[in-house]
Amino acid sequence: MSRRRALRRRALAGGAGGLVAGAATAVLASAESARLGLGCWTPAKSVAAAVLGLPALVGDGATVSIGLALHLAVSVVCGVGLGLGLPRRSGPAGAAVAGLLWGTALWALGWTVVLPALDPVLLERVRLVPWRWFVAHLVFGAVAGTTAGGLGRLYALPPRRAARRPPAERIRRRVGISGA
Amino acid sequence: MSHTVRLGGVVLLLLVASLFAPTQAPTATEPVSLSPEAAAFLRELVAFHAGAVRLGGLAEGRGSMPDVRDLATLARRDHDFALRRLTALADAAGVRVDEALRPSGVADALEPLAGVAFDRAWLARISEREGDLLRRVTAWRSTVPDGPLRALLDEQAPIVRQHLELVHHVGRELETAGGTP
Repeated sequence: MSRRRALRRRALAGGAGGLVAGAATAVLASAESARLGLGCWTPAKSVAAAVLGLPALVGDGATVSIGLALHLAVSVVCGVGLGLGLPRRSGPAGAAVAGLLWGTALWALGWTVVLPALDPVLLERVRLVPWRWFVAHLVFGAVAGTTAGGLGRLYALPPRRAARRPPAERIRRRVGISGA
Repeated sequence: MSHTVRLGGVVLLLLVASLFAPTQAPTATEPVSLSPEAAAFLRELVAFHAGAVRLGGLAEGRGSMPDVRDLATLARRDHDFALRRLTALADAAGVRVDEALRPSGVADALEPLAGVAFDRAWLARISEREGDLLRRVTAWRSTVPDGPLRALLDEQAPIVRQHLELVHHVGRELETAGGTP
């Protein structure tokens, strides 16, 4: 497989992992926000505030959709980064650990650089629940890592037909006749 | 198959861990020491937030403009969250706040109003109260040393500022719409 093709496949696997992990963290954040009495859609509205500003907090269903779409888009980008950085022969546990490290790095970058610059409304909101914000990033990393790792290995498998031996050789092996 | 099982295991473990992750609010099991001035200010804050929860609840049902009702819901939830944290801190510090939690007449003047008149009066009341809270919290923060109360004030001040900006935004929307809900 050419290097460019391999990179493309790893990016694709990472993007898919990011999408799955983004969906998982969106559900987790909404459920947790509702449990804390802060409203199920407040996390999505706070994300939408990056585009719409503070009025997003009193927005309607369209605002929630924008927030969710933005969250998933950022998740895919972060997943692609993880997919490209995953070690080639990492097993599920290795991919999960790499994902956890990636999630921690994303959390640190988001907390110190991205949110202050792009979404201060969300930053002020997550300061109310800092541990949960951190755990959400760990969940993102673990899910994205294991999904991207699994898909990456799946893509790396040779095509099924090529993997199968020719029928004649299989018969010879079954009856114990040497091919030579 | 084993990959799926491991993935499920990791996700489940992290989901369970997230449910047990602590918030920054102190719990009643962690004793906290507060000065008499800090305890008095804590009671004031509890009374304020309890009143704000009542005001928010009133506008959620009576507001005529959707933005007013949405803002009321947001404010009610945020103030209720702050109230729970403050009462947890009061419990941990052994400060009694029963009196501060009793219903006050904070919403009495709004009771007879309805429609756009209610929206305007409610926005004016909220603007006045949130502005007052922000001024008092800012003044108080500059005089108290680091501690659990100051940590809570540091968290809540930006949220109150958000409410205040949203009140002005919704007020402008109301005037632009010519008072039509």
